[in-house]
Amino acid sequence: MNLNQSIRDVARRIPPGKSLDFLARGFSYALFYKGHLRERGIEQHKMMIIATIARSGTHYAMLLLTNYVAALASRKLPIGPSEMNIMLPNNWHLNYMSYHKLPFGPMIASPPKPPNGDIAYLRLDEITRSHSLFQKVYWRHHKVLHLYRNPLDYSVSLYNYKHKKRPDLPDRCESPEEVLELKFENYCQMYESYTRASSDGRYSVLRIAYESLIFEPHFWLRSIVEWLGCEVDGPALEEAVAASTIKNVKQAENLGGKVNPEALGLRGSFISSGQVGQWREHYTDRQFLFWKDKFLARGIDIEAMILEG
Amino acid sequence: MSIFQRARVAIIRPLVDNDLVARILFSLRLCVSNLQKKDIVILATTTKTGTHYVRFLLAYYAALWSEKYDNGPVVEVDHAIVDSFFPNSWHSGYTFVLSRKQPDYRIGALGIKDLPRSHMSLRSFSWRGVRVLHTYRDRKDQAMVSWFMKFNCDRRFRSAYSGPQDLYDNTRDETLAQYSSFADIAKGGTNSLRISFENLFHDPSNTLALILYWLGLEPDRELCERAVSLAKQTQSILVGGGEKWHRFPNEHVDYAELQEFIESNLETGAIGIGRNILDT
Repeated sequence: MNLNQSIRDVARRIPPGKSLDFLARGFSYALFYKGHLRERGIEQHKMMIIATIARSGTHYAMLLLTNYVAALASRKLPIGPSEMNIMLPNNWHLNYMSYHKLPFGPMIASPPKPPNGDIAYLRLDEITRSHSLFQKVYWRHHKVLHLYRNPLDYSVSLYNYKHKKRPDLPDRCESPEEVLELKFENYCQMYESYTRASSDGRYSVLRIAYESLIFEPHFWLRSIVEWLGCEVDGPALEEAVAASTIKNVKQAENLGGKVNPEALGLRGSFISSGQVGQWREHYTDRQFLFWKDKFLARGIDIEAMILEG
Repeated sequence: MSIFQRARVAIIRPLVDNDLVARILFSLRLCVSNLQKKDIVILATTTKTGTHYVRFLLAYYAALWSEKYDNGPVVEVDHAIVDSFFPNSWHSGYTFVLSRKQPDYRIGALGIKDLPRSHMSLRSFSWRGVRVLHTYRDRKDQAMVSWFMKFNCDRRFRSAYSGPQDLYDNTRDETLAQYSSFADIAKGGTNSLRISFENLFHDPSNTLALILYWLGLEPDRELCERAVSLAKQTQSILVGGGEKWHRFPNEHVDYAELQEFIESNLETGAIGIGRNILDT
């Protein structure tokens, strides 16, 4: 993939390269993508993408939604991480459009598996996930649920999840701040791409901060269901939230369940604690001010985000 | 209204029913007002489902934001705040039926330049590419609140229906069409957010935060709480009303009757009040 990306970067610098890339994305890849969905009987407006900044509640949102539809279908709860991954088996990049591998790689890594039919309770054909920038061309008619969290806790979570547990990682960082340094540009681009899409009436985007979802899952799950055009079933909502606790997920992990089976080389639990405000254990006041100013220079006010638990 | 204005209303209003004409007029209005589609959000609601509650929350939030971050004037209870922040209706202000008024500059805190309102089904062609905020509630509750807050208390309209059941029977199809048009996710090309009155009533602060997230902003939670506290001072919005004639004296309105209805439903938001209405 890195070689492919390097070739693309070079190709884009050649005068017509950028235009060709743009045209390919806008037309030939888009045509493939539409056909790909059509072949699988997925209507574009019935596809929801949980598009998140990593470590910002992707799997928590999936767990809430799968438990909610399972409650509506009168199935036994809780739905644990393994069953959740069977119900929602696809990753947008791997199974619908590996755009970052193009033009030299295959358009998809593997064909998508059919998701569980219970998601029809949400009027959807597919719920998939992605950690990519907002995709103007491909996601034009999808419902996009964007989750993000304050960048300081993001760095702590990513450090705990990835860097601390994987000593063989090539760009391994020694602290959350190093992670933030590494990921700063990516975080800003992600944040900006979704705020821009939100302020544009052409795309159906709902942004929710991970911290809000964690603190008040009843309200935010209810809001997501209403946003999807459905009416909320109160008892099913209660059951779904009660079944989606971190405690339940940890118990399921202890029994061999995996929250993110695609994560390579991960040791231990997928979850650290899910707490908001852990950054205080890793950043001094001076470091906080430095990052606050650095983000502000990019138009992102981290003080306006939820920083405390 | 001058003769010229009356003539303009009489000529243009019927044309707006046509979606293509409406779209052309709307685009023209945006153009002459130097606005882009992303600058406005249409507050498209079923009447008596929280339109004014949402307007008050957003207006107070914007004013409080300006007070906190932009040296804006100190914000106090103001029953007319929505009229200066959001003075336009889409039907008139954005289709040349009437002139478009300039909203309060502090609306900029919401990342938009206007929030015109509308009480009609989703106009998927006219409004394509524009963000739409929609409020709705249980349709029987809606009929009941509408009866008490619009018809029963106003001597001009009292005889329009024999009671809430009659009102429900006569408006059910239109209300259902409005509801269905916004719930239908197949209607692409419109970024819409649905807000139920029940959610709004039970958790106004989070509902305000939800709208701000959807607008692409970071909600200031302290300001959300203050906005809710200020909005709650205008009682008529808490049951789903809040029109101008609820807030300011109007010679046609029986205020004793209106106030009795509002006060007896403040605790519940009139949620569930329509349970005795029948589907005939």
